[in-house]
Order: sequence, then C-alpha cells, then structure tokens
Amino acid sequence: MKIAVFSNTKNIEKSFAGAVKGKKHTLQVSPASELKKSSKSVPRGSLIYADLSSFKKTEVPQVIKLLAKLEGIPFGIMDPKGAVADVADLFHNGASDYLDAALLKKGVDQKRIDRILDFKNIEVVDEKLTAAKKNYILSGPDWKNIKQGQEYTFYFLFIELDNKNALKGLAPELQSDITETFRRYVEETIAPMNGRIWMWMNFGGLVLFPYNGKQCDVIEAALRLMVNRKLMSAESIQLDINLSYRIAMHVGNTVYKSKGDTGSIVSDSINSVFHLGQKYTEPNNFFLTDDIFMLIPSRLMNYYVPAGEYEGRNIFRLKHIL
Amino acid sequence: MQIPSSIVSLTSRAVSESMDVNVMTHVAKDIIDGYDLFQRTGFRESMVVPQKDAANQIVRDMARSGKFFYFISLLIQMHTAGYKGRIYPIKYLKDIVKMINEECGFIYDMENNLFVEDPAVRRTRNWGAFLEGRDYNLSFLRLDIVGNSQLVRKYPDNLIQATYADLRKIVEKAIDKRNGRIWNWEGDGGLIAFYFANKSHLATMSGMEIINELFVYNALHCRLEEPLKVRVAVHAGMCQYTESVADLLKNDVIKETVQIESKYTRPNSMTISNTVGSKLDASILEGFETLMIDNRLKFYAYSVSMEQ
Repeated sequence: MKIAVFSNTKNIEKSFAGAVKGKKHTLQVSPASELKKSSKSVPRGSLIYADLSSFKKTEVPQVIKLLAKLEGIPFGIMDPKGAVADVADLFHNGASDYLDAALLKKGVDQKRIDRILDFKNIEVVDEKLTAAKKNYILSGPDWKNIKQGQEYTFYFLFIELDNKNALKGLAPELQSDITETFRRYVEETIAPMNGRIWMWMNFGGLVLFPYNGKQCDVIEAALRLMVNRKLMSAESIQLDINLSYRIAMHVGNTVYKSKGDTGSIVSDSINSVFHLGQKYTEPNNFFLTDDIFMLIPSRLMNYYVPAGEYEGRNIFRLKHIL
Repeated sequence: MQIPSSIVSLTSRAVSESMDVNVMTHVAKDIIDGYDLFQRTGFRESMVVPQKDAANQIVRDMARSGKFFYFISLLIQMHTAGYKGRIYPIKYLKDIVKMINEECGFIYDMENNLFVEDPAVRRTRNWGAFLEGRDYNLSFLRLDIVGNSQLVRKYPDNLIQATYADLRKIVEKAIDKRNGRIWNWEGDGGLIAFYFANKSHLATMSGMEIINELFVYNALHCRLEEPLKVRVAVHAGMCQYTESVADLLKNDVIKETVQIESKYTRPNSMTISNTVGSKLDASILEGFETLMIDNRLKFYAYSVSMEQ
C-alpha cells in the first residue's frame, strides 16, 4: 500500500522508515503545496498524511476539508508543533490518525499502518455493502429456483488462458484438446461450489454462481484455480507448456437465459466483468471488484491488495502465488 | 479369497484343453515350489495322470493356495507372449478374465501383468495383488505434520482430532484418484504407496495436490489459530512386500523416504528424490527448486507461498 506524505519538513521520511521497512508499504513524500493537486490522483486504498506545520494556519481548515472529501482514501494528520487544539475534532472530520512531535520522533511502524487500514476497511465496506445489497436479487444457494428470463444477482467469474499465441501455433486438434481439457478442469473445480460455465469461447469463458446474499464462499473455487495452475498443467495438459490464465470476479445482476441462448442479454455486470478480465486483469493474476471484495470471508482480505480503479470500481488483486 | 466354483471349473477346462500334463506341471512348479502332481492326485508315479484330473487338481491347488490370480496371469502370458519359447493359445481366457472381474471384483493390469482389485469395488493395502515376500518397484509418499507435539499440547484434543481428520480427507482425496494406498497412518502423518502406471508422476501429483489444498485449507478453513504445516517427501525403489507394517517400514527405500522428509524438507513443502525427478517431464521440474544436498545427491522442492 502506498503512504503519501505531504510535508516540507526536512528528513520527514525518517519518521516512516519503520512503516516501509517490511516492504509491505511504500512511501512517497511530496511538498505540502502539491496536496490539492496530487491528492486526487492518489490511488484508492492509499493512506495520506498531511503535515499541518507545512501549511499556513489559515489553510489548515481547508486542508482538513479537502482530505475529508477524498472517498476511499484514509488520512492522517501530522502536527509536530502541537498546533491542533482539539484533536477529537480531526477524527470527527474523518481523520484516521494523529501524529504529534513525540510520535513523529519515535517513528510510525507497520503495525500502526495496518491497524488504520483494517479499521477503515471495515468501516468503508459496511457502508458500501448495505448500499449494494439494496439492488441485489437473491438467486438462492443453488440453481433450483432460477428461472429462464428472470433477473437475478450472480457471482461472475471470468477466466481466460494467457497462452493464446503459443496455443494458436499448435495443430488445431492439439489446440482443441488442450482448450477442452482446460474447460473440463474449470468445470470440475467450480462444480462443488454450484458454479456453471455459462459462456465459453476458445480460450476461456464466464462462470456463474448463484448468489444467496451471504458471504462469498465461492471465492474458494477461484483461489483453488489459481493455486493449482502448475498441477493442472502437469497432470491434465501433459505438454511442455505451463498454462497460465487470468481470473476476474464481480457480483451483479443479469437476466438468466440458458447456455447458448445468451446473445440477446444486455447486462452492465457482464460487460464489466468481461472488460475487467480482458482489458485490465494482468496475465496470471486474479482481480476482483470491490463489490465482491466486500463479500469475501474476512480471513481472506489480507490475501488481496488494491490494484487501482477501473470503470468506476475499486479493484483488488490476489497477491501473487509463488 | 474364495474363488467361485464356476471360475475354477471353467479354468480347469481351459487348462485341460490347452496344454498337456507335462506343461501344466511345469507351470504349477513355477508358482508353487516343489509342487508334486502325483502326491497331490494320489496317482502312482508309474501311471499317467489323465489330463482332466491333472488340470482339476492344479487349478484347485492354485485357488486353495491364494495364487489363483497369479496362475491366471501366467496363462495370459502363455497365450500372448509364450512360455519357454512357445505360444499356448488358452481357451476361454476372455471368459475367465470377465468372470474374475464380475464375480471377484478384480481387473487385469496388462502393464504389470497382474490382477488388481477394482477400486470401485474395494481398496486394500496391496491392491489385492502383492504376494508376501516378493519384491515390487514402488513410489512412496511420506507425510508428516510439523510440530505435532507442540500442537497437541497447545490445543484441546477435539480440535486437534478434527484438524487431523481434515488433513486425512485432503490426503485421501489426493491419493484415491491416483490409485495410491495408505500403508501406514499414525496421528501425525503417514506413508502412501503407488504402484501402477507412471507411479512417480502420480505420487508427485498427489504431493502437489496435498500442498495446494493445504494452502486453501489454511486460508479458509483451518480450525487452529495458526496454519497447519506438513512436510511431504516422494521417493521410489524396490520394496519387499509383507503384511507386517513393522517389517514393511524396514525396507531401505521406505527408510530413505522418511529421511528425505525429516532431514531435507522444509515445512509446507514437498521434496522429491532424484530417482523420482528423473521420471518427470522437464516442464514439471521447472516449477520446483533444485536442492543440492552434496556433489552427487540432488533433490527437488515444491511449495506454495504468497507474495509479502
């Protein structure tokens, strides 16, 4: 995660040396004058610190107001000169941290940053989740009650092979054997979680999971697909190719029509997951939207890192599996 | 195992109609040391044992001694590859193999030339095929829970039992589909044997699946406050089969497997020996780390971890 510090204080980076020591977080120090311009381009999921001693006294209320307006970006206040009379007021205005002279001298460590992020994550997620759930139409825990032509909320999983060029160079029969084996492998992995392949092209497709309004347990299938890449290549493909694929997940609504009869469906959610998978997700990676990130089991949240914003949604990336 | 009389009867007919008494006696002696047809049938040595009587006696003795399937696999060899330089077409052979499959639940494995139990019917430790005291070329997977003693002291017994049962399920799922058999399972780990097809490949794939599934388990389902960690080792070699587990574990190849696991394997990883590595495709080994133990000894390690 990126820690963006706006300060004119000399050697201010020393106060954050402990926070970036473990390489989990990165630090960017900019002059205080750039706060207004740069704060808007700071990626979501970052943490901003503003050094009040680098601003004129009259500018301070505007600085707080500006920071409070940044959606999805927590902020902290640095106050080496003890200029803030009412610290609680800062927190009432949305601040997540306050560093006085003593704390700046002692230095900020990684644990402190992690605590702030955990706290803010829960807060932001709860609000967004409540708003998002208003639009969801439960499709149930399985496929029993899903009817043709009706609109439901589904978990969407887009999956596509990255090795398209290598595969296109193979004999057509061999290419089709590999892609068919891959399709079967996806099918077998998603089946225990009630997943079904809904659309399938040559090198990948779209999987649907019914949405029951509860925690997103189906994430297990996607995690398993990512973990088993080497095993799948070694056992199912048995060629000198280590297959690599990308996965994108999203949750949203669509009218349900049976496989093969999907040509006329117009759905923002389907467009979004295809765009995310084909245009934004990097090869050999698993990206998901914040709509689904809010629903994954909490013990998995640390497995993901912010990956910027795409088509108006915050995106998270599964940390690389090595 | 009791062989149904219909199979014994058809086999006797097949033997009596496919070879003379001299050949069938030789075959019987190959299977049962010192087999004496005259003594078994009660005929005096100066007399000729009628072909039908000889076949009946030999087949019944094979069934009684527990070597009936071995006898049939020898008949299949005589029929396909020959016996002492000559092909012996054996009558009703297809019917006999079919009856063994349908009535006894055993299938013929052409690669190893033996009958093995049909996994859909039953699963025993030796695939229903190994004979006591004989040598077999096998691959082994050894698995051990890291820090078992500390875990047992730290957590209540029911939590430990449930966690270890979860692990056993992961192991069983990984090995059952690859026709592996658990030869020994203690509280904190076990030994699994693979015999059929590309056994080193199958043992390695099972080990990879166990490591991968444990990663998913630790991420989502682990009941402990910490990840459950295992060490897995895969090795291959000749092993003398015996029904006694204690004696089985005295085989050098098994001792070596245990040593690779305990001495050269990091927690939550699998180490495979060079013997196993040499049987795998290069593309598989690309995903493994090479461990040089000394100038001559090389192992390969597989693990799953996450970027920090």
